[in-house]
Amino acid sequence: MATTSEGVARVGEDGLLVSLESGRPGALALNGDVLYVADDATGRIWQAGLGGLRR
Amino acid sequence: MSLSLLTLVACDPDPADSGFVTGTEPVVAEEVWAVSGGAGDLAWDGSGLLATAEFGDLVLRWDPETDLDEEIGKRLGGSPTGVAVGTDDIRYVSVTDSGVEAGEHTDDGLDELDPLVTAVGATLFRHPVDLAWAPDGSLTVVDSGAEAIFRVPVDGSPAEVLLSGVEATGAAWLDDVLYLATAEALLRVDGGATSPVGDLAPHWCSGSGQMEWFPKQIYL
Repeated sequence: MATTSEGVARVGEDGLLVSLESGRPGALALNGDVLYVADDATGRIWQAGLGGLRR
Repeated sequence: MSLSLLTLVACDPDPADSGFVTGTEPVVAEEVWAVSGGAGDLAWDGSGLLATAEFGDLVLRWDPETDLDEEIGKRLGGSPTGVAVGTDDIRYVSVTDSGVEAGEHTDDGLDELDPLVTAVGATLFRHPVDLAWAPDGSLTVVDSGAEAIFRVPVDGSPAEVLLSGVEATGAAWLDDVLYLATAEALLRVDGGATSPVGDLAPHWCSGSGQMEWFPKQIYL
């Protein structure tokens, strides 16, 4: 996965694109199917479950 | 806590060009933590989330079970900008402009930091932004200021430049292939050969219809 100005994109045949409202997603960490994304604009950390998304 | 800040962005890139395909399911997210001044880097250590705090020159750790955070590092020289989980003997590693530091396991939670590398040749890091463990057990440091990728052994032997002339902001290893996030593309570095992921440089659609692609950090 990569963070872009548009959001978080998963690399691979079944990708995804999610975005932060601020448009500034930053650092990533992954705990199994749980994704943590830092919002560069606010310092808030967001958690998202990726269990329903195929890699 | 707030919910649903993460939302699916409708976009229609050509996977044959970009190598990426959008998902179709909305992703629900919740705010779980806030780092004052912003988090430069994140890493999951098995039971908690590590973050470099851009204000405070610290590495912080958040425990999702207790919803409490703690300071687990103290500054030796500069503000940590990248963090990675350590090994059996090292709780975590972090990087600052002054070098790579290793935080040891301690009982009181405030770790002593031992510098692994404080200089590379005659040049200090300029602006390291990420670090990752390489398959050979060394650390890979992404320095956007020096526009270089450094290989940092953890046995104290000298660090070396792995790749120069690339302004990357993130790195991840998958087997023996190094992936780098840059402003232009997601790059694959395999055996010294560098190429964008996909047949063409990746791109993405913005809400305004312009093509944008600014990879900042990657996780494989």
